[in-house]
Amino acid sequence: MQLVAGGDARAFEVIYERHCTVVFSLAYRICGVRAAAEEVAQEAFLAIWRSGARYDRTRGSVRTWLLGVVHNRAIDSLRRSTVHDRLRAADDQAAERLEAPERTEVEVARREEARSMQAVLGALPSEQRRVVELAYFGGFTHEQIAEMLGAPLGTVKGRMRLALEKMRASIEPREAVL
Amino acid sequence: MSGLDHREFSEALGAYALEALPEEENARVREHLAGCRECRAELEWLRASVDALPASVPQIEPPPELKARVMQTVEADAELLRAAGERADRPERRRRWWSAAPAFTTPVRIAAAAGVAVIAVLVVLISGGGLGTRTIQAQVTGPALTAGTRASLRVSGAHAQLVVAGLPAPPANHVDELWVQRGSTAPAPAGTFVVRTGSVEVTGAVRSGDQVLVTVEPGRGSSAPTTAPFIVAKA
Repeated sequence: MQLVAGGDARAFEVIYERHCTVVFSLAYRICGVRAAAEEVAQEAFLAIWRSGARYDRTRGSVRTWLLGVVHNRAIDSLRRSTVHDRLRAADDQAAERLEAPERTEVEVARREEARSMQAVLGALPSEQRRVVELAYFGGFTHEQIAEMLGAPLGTVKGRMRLALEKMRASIEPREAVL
Repeated sequence: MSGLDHREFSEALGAYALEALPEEENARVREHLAGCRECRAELEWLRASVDALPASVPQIEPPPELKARVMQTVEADAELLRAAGERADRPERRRRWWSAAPAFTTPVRIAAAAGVAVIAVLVVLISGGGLGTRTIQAQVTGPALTAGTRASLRVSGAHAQLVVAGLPAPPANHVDELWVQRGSTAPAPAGTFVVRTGSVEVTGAVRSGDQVLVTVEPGRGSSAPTTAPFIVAKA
């Protein structure tokens, strides 16, 4: 990233190659339209290229930083669209499946990671999974979600917190990192 | 949500990590976090779950054109930085009065480099130097003018580059598109771009007297302009 911050196009190309699939996949999952996903991914990569100097390695990996930028831009794009689109975004079942072919070991590992995370999400009680998906992939606030589901605000907040706790425990037990 | 106790703030951390709190409530949680080590640790713990969510989505290969578009802009920016030289790329070694300012980010440096490059070209022209590069001030209208956008065209032989600074982003699902218009013929598409500050290659030959236009177009661009040009430069 130091080289990218210094304006090294080749170093940036390495970052692009390493993360383009996960970036585009997240943008597509949220936007649901290839053209919009391409636009979001392009904007995010160029934002990273132009703000490389702001990357702080103590605050997480390049991938986490990049995906945070993609998520924010995709949600901004989604918030300019209709509620219907946003509900579609939060509904994984409706997403078009155009998965990348497994060509390299990296892609196989990435696919395995996706399956593993899908299993973690799938293991959540449906009402907890739903609030996480509506918030993260649909960009809804907890108030909007409460209204949509006809549930009290406190319940929605509680479900979000419980869902993240359970996911975290599945990814890496607390004892292992404390 | 005023007067919340620690337990209630702690309860809101899931929604906070998912960025699902309205701004006002978000600000209150942020304020609480600044003074509560326990909640900060809890948030860090929960945030790892949010960070893992992108990995759960079906992995889809991006189209090769995406890389081509991204790298076209990156290469153009890098070229601009190189053209401006080493000094434009680095802060001064000796501490000066501006040394307390935040580190220069790439866009600032690119803008600075664009400025240096334009000045360099002007100096060459004024001094009668012979690089054969002409810089033409472009006319900017509409919201771009209000936003203070500056644009110029650098023409070298039949090759042209649009240099912009502070260009506002087009609406969602739209792109900025370049056109070359020769005489009274219909404008020919000359590439789409996303650069806000920097330079953009104009695709195809640009001859003396041609007009280079920029319009906002839906989707990935159009084969003929659908809106009025907001940047116009005559080569």
